[in-house]
Amino acid sequence: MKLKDIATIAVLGVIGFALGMGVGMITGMFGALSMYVSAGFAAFFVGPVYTIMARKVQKRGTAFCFWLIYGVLYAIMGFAVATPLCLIAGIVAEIIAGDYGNKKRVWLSFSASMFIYSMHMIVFVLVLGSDGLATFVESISLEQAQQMVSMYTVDMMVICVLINIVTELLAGRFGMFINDKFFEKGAKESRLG
Amino acid sequence: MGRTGLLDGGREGHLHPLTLFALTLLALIQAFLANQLVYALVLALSFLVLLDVSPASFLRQLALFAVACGVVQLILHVDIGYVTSIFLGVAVLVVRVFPVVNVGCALMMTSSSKLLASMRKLHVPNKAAVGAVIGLRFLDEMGDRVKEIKRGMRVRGLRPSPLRPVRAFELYFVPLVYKCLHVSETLVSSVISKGIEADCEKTSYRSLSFGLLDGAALGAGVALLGVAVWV
Repeated sequence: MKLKDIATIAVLGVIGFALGMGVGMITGMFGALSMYVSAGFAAFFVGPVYTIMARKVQKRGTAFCFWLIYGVLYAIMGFAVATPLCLIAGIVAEIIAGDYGNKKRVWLSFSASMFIYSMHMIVFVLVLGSDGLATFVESISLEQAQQMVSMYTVDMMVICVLINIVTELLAGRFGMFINDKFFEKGAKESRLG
Repeated sequence: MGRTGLLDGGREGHLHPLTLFALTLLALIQAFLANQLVYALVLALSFLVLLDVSPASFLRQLALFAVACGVVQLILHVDIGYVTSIFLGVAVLVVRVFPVVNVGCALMMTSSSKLLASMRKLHVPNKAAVGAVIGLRFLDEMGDRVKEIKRGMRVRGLRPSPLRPVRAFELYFVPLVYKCLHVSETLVSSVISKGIEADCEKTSYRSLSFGLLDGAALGAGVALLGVAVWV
């Protein structure tokens, strides 16, 4: 990977994180609805960033670096508990994307990795429980954590999983649409080659 | 792009970048562990660090902190149903991570060349160091680029409509990505032309020695972490 590629990943990683975080915080305020669509909606903003980055760089390790930036920035923001999930998402994305030559694989790599990331609340609820949530996630009090654990029933988790599968696939396709429309066909040659 | 280029006269703090980095980590750990008293002390330390780097940023962050505390108090006195706890959670989180943000701001205002030189001292691979510095610098840049796009849209008479979300997204997002890619390419061209990829030993114009202030800040940070863990 060249220095130019590293810079592209760093810059687009920061944009993706800022957009995802901003949209996630806004949708997080929609009460119970946010439990279903929060991460899925943010994916429509992160998807184009990821796709443009993957298609522009087209080197092994791109997706992992993107998710590594996500994980590191989450740690800096005080959500270090989300970092391992970001790293797992990065590894899965890397495996699916292959050599980044196939657009459909890039699309699927985003959808799969974003789906893993979007499951963070369910994973936290299942793994940490209410006490763990209140301890490790700074924004959640014990009372809120208990309320959240009681809300995540099996039915609700299944609905969340289904909604996220659909939204992540659509977000990946939307990312590909934006990439093809603005960044793929008329893309200029880089001065650095 | 950066306010603090290699040889500019921009104001910089007295703390070593590695001290700021260590303080960011300490503040992050304390965000999970600290009680009210330790939190207040860590917050005071972070504001002092920011004051050392930029009085203007110190005042801005102080005002933001006052606003965030005001919002928390307001939410505590207003009950708007289920979403109250969500708003409260977000507001408390903002207040809680303020020390991390303050030290992070100080780190972001440190010159890129100083950051690069200190990472080199830690034997961080060159490419990873450049990536980290560009990412860190870019967090600060994004707001300016969005303002430029808004100005451009106003001049061209373009108005994003919530009824056409894809078009609104394209209006903001596409120029932002193009601008960002342009900035990153310019930056990389610049550092390559300055010989960043050469294998020879690199030197720095900046002084990178640890001073008394570094020792004092780190000592205070570690002591507060010790108290947070102990209590």
